[in-house]
Amino acid sequence: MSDRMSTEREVRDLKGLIGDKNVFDDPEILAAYAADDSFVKPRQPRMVVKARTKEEVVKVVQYANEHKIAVTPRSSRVSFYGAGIPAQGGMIIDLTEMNRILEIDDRARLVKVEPGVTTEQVQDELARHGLMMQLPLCSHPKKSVLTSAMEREPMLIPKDEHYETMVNVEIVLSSGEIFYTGTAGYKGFKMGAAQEFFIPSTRLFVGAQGTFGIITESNLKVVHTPAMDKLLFIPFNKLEDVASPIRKIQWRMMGNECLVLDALNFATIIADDDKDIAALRDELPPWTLIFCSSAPARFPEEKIAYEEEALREIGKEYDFDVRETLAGAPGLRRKLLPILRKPWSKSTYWKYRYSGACTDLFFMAPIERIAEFTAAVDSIAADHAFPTGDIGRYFQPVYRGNAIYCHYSFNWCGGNGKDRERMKSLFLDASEKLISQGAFFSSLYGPWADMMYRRTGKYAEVLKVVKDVFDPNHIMNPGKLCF
Amino acid sequence: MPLGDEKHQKIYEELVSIVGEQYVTDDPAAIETFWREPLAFESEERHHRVEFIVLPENTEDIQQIIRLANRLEFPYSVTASGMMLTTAAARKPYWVFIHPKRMDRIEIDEKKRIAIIEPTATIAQVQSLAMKRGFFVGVPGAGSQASCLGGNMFQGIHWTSWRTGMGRSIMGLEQVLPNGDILRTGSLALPGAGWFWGEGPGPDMRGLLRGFAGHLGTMGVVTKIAVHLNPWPGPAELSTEGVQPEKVVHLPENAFQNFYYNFPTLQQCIDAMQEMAKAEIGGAVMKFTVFDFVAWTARTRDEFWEQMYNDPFWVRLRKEGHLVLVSLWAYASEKQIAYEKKVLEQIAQEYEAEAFPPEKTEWLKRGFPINLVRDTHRHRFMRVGRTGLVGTITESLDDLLRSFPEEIAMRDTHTPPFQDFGQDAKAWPSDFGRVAWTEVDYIGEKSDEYEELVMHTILPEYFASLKKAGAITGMFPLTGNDWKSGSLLPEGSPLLRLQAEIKRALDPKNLANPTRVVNLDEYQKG
Amino acid sequence: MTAKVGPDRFPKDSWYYDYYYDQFKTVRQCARCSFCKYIDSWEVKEPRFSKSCPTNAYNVFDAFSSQGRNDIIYAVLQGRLDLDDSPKLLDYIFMCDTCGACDASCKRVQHMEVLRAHMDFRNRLVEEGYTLPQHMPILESLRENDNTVFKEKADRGKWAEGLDVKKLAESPADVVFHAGCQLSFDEALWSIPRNAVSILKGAGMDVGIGGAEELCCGARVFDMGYRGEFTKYAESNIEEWKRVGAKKVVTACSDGYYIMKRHYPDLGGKVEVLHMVEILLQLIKEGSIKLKKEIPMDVTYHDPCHLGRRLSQAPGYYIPGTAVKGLYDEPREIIKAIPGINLIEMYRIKEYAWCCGAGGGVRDAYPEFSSWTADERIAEARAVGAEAIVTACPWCERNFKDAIERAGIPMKVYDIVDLVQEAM
Repeated sequence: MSDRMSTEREVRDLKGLIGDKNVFDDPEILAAYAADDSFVKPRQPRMVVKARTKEEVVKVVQYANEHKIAVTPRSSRVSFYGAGIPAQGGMIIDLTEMNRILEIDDRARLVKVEPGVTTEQVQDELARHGLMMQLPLCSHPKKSVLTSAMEREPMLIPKDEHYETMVNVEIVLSSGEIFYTGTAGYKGFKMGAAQEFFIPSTRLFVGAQGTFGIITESNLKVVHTPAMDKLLFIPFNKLEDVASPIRKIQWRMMGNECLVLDALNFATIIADDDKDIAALRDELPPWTLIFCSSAPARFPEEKIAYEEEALREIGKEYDFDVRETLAGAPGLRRKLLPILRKPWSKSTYWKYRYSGACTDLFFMAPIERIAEFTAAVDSIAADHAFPTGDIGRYFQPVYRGNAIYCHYSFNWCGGNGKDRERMKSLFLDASEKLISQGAFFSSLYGPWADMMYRRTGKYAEVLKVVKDVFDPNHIMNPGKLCF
Repeated sequence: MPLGDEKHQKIYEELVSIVGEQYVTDDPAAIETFWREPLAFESEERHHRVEFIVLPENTEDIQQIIRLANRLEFPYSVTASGMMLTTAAARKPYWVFIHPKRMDRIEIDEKKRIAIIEPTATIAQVQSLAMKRGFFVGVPGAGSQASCLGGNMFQGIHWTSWRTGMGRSIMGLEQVLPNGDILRTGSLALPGAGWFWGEGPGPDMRGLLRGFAGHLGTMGVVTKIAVHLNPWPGPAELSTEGVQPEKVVHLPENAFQNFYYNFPTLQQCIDAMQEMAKAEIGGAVMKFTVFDFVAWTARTRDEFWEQMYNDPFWVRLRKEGHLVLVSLWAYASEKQIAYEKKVLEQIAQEYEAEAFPPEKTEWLKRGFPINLVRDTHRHRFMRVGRTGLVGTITESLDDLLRSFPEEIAMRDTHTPPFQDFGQDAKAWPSDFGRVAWTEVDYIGEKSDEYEELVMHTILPEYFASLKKAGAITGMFPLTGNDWKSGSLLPEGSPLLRLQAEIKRALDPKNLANPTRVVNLDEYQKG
Repeated sequence: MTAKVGPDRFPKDSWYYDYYYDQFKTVRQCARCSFCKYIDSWEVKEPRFSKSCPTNAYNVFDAFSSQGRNDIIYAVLQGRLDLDDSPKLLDYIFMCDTCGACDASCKRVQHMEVLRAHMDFRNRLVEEGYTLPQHMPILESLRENDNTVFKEKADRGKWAEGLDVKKLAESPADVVFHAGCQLSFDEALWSIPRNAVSILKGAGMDVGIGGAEELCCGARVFDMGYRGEFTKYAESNIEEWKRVGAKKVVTACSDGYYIMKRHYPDLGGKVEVLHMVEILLQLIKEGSIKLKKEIPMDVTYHDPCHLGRRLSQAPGYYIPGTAVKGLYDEPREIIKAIPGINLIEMYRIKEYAWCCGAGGGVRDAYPEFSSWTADERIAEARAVGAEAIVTACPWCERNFKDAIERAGIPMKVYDIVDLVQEAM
């Protein structure tokens, strides 16, 4: 008896459902889905199914539900945090080729996408309509824009009015039923733009990592491309000095992009060549608040003028400089804006430019605690003999400065040996300690799920109730979060 | 002395042992004070009374009450300011009404820009503390004397939603579940993190607790929320002149300026609003109607009827107007107003808008822009009648072209006997017009004839209209009493099943405001 | 008459066009907006001091509020609730100091005379024999000794001992100074009527007092719902003033001022009724009173309900759309005219002032509630940093003095008459 009899039968059945060319059990192919950059334990699926339409998704999921096969959805060709690694075998349902941009409404400022639409694809298409998606920092061009929204990757533009990219979803449940959030389920509604209508609403599915169902369509917010921009830079020597200016700037509802980078991250994203990063890092200020004043088509210079004036007033109050250039970075404004507004375009993804590998740790915090948490990260790194100079730091105010997203990139050499073990040990230790100090991890990948849910009381219990209703057989990405 | 049967007596005595005799009542006169409100009708179907009113002091009291409910099996519901009692009025015997009137604490955290509030803290109270620190919290049409927590759990809509969005101000909440356990969401869930962030951890529970109208207490009792505060470019305190109802508040003109326009067609009106959205101007932009302007500003019934039906300006606009109110706020600096005004005037000219004449804008100063900030005209209808409206959600400004005619037509099928209010409608655009809640008003009255019409003609029509493809339009009063399970849901949606099963799992004895959101008894009958 | 829009259109009830008072329509119209429980939203500056209804703030249950009373009265009028059904009905109706704050707040958004509807209901309860036991001692005191403060009639004139002033029993007078029950018998407040008489005489007025023969004005029992008793005393007073040929009646008591000003004319009262505040301001403006002495003090002014909003709330005085009038500015002008004084306003003033807790019969019927209400007001005065609280009604003054003593704080209570006298 073949030790793969079950798999073989299932592969056969699935091929019968959606075609021979769309179901794979070749070991090399399976291996490609088994691991990513994270420390989530590599595990292989037993098969990979490529679905390109909602109908195919429904058929596959119904089959999987009937036969209790775990289903791990993958919308992105790249995976960084382990959400797409199957914890219990089963199948990967690869949606990367379900990648149509279904509709762009430039008046409602929405784009309706299928899960496989990438950041590069959508940004190029939107540009033709005078629109742009607010992307996270240097997003990978092959990353699914829907995955990015689901992962709550913060936008560089922390505007209230454009907050929460994902407006509504069409989601296939494990039963094969299709469920809509917002108004999308009503035939008369073109775009389904009301985020909340009935309970459950869209927010429940953000951060769910496909554990409640598979999203096959979503409306995401886009914005009009500004007619004019002016990038300005505020250097800081001490991180402690950054919090108040951020607050003040955001509380005056000013500007588009607003983010803080340390010298290493800043150098990493703007260096023309990988080998220039170290030198550039030494020339850039320790911390830079990047602020972009943007204006639409009507009297743009006037808008930028008053915002800049207001920014400089804040500068006087908090004793900081507002600069149009930075030493060591000629042509910075011209170079930086496309980096901020488009997916990464160089061949080596920015995370890997400095040392080849990168482990990320990110969480939400109140703005006044960024120095405290940064010091904690440095201290933990030192305990693990990790050079703090190799940690890149990025802080992103969100929701008009209500809170700040803190992102630490541990640049290391990569590989599978002792270095990896050390990096993993540091990562786990840092995560645990930061959480115990109140760093709020809202997107829960890998070990973070257990670290958070064992502390957060009844939250996981209620989620489990919802899970049991949405997915009674627990086939949807089992083993993730608290499921 | 408690009335009722043995079970009633027992419930009473146990409630007394939880909160103290002073804070429980089953007195028949006291019970009469908990069933009427603007949407309540007095027909037999709505003549339900609670049996007990209990006033808890804190979350722990509420936990004990809910655990008691599970032990003795009695239903309960909760309200904050009591403005939407029909969503919580009794439908079954032994109904306990939890009124958290003693829970009205407010704490402002300036650095995190949140207000942590208990259920009966009013919007005016929260604003009074927030403004001193340069912040404010938005106010819905319910008025500033309404509950801030209630308003944010329900709709979460504000006059300033153009900028500050709809339904996303909750930065974490504490809730007692139907089994008496406490659920904390957002960063509050993590010890040591405190209140500051509302998402997650992981899947966001606000997606379960906060639909367009909240969960209405069907998943337990919300005891605290952190509400996001918005920047406030105005004074630390409002300064008033005069005595009611002649009182006025003048907000500084270098921080707030209002503009009123009439557009020749609805299309031009919408196009202009789209341009305002594109230009990202305005602290508040509302699509208003003549009724709104006049009802907000008139101080007497006389004045209202005179203006609506005898003033040539309003009469003309009632017939052919498409009105927009734009309130510019100087968030960044005074120069923002100068800039936005220039942009606005350019847009107005492009779309052939007629600005209101000075004598009208002067008259409107009685209530604008202050009521956009601290609405004190609640029950704008009530002075001259009673509430009636057709409401719907729209998905964009362009969708107003669909919804307005539908809503107006629905009202006009009963005009007369409704007043002729014209062919315009109101919209609350949110997030620069990505979505809007719209309303078409009509005036009723407190009379048997009116109730007869609404109960036996209009409401049945409402339910029939819900089946119309693509429309979620209906006549108010839309109340929890009337939502029949599944009647509002898209065809073929598994939503009812999902709601019912979640409800059943969280509240197996079906005690938390039973029959609302999903009527488990009906659902289980199939 | 406003423009009608057709009898076939809602609203069809003329009440929605040409307002008139109707108890049933008033209580029916209530929409539970809860304005009645809070001060005007525009005036809210501190949450602690944002409530307007002492009854609701103290008791918490909504039955203890204007909205609650509307619902209860509605239920009774519709026959859904019998007067015997609820053992607490009398408390819901009578545990209210009739301050009128609810009425002022309600009129912000409605044309509803809620206070009048509730007072009419009190009257009905009394007439049908549903009387509050705690009221009985007050009625007995009135019947036996012509006062509502449980004192001997013979002692009523003691406040004026040694004062050179006409007694009306012996001589007629143009101006009757009506001291009132509180000022007549509360020795700690005797400086007020004594100073008042001195000032009136000093201004050249022909003043007379009733002394021991003075009768209660009936204000207290009117607010309690005993209109029959009130009428007896009102008619007696009107008769007496006619007898002595009085042209004016002056009082330093706001309760008395209100009832004489607003309700005596319906019973044939024709004399001009004035409060000392009006006289003082006039004399100051004329220069007849010179305020020479400095009083370097931070003071706050408490608006007595009956000198303020109640004046606009009397039956027949409500004109929709017009300001809730009262004597708000006059006392403030007087205070500001005193050299050295600094007037600081509390959070709830004028038409939305918090009550002192003495009115409506609650001082005697619900003493704890009455005390609590006064305690809250003193806390508010303290919160704004006032060294003294000034007012123009002896009932307020007594309640405040008691509250200050309970709190053990060194705040002073001034009647505006005494304050002016001190500055002269």
